[in-house]
Amino acid sequence: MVNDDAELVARVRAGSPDAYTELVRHNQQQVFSILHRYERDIHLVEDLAQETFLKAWRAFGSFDSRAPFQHWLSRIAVRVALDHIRRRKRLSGTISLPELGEDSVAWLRDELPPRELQGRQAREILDLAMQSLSPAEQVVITLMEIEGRSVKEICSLTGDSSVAVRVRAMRARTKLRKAIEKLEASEHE
Amino acid sequence: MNDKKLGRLFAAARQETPPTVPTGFAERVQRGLNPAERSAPVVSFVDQLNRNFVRYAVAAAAMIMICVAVEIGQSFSHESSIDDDVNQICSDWMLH
Repeated sequence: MVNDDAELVARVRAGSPDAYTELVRHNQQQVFSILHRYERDIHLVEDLAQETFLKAWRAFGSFDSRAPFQHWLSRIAVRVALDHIRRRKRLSGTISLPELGEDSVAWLRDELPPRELQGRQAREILDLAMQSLSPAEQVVITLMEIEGRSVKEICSLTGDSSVAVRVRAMRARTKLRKAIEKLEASEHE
Repeated sequence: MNDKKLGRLFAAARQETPPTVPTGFAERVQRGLNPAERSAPVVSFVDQLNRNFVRYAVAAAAMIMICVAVEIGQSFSHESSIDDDVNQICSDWMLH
């Protein structure tokens, strides 16, 4: 049993496709964790994860081992997520928005104690509010505020400059505040 | 909506547990590859060039430095200077 990504990468380069299956097993949970921040449907997350690993296989020749394999794979996963959000945004006219659950509505109305909000409910509210953000803004604010990544890490994952990341994060926060205020107002009616 | 409330929303979203990976996912990825792709990943010439770029750059710089060192060494041994060489070239190319 080989546990080291670098060793598995070397075996894949030597022509062992089985080593790639092992590499997928090593990194699949991390890829699912990244992608589920952008998509709630588990079947779609699985499709996106498969797309990520297939893209990684096809681009394997460009992996130069200067950074860890996991980091290179995360960059591909973030790009796949960004493409997915863009596609979803194009189709958003034909897809109905998910309705908020009772607890989420109660929290928006300040009827729920602040600490009572669960992860799933917070996600419901954020998913609705994020509809007003551009795909790039959604990715930046998710990486920064939900995954807790630094500006430097986000630059490395998205390929954007630090100025672009900071500006997008600031715009995203402003838009989110406005969108949630709208939701609050509509839920009070 | 104040910053505090937005912060609480992000903090709660952070607590959401990621989904567990379905059994056999890695095999599904393997099946997703075309038969032609399954043998080994394709490494193009550009990929190889890109991967070895630093080595090529160092080798090229070393070669240039060796050439310059040899040139300087030769110029000392022949007791000539670069000025003489430039004058020689000028006279060869411009006066004839």
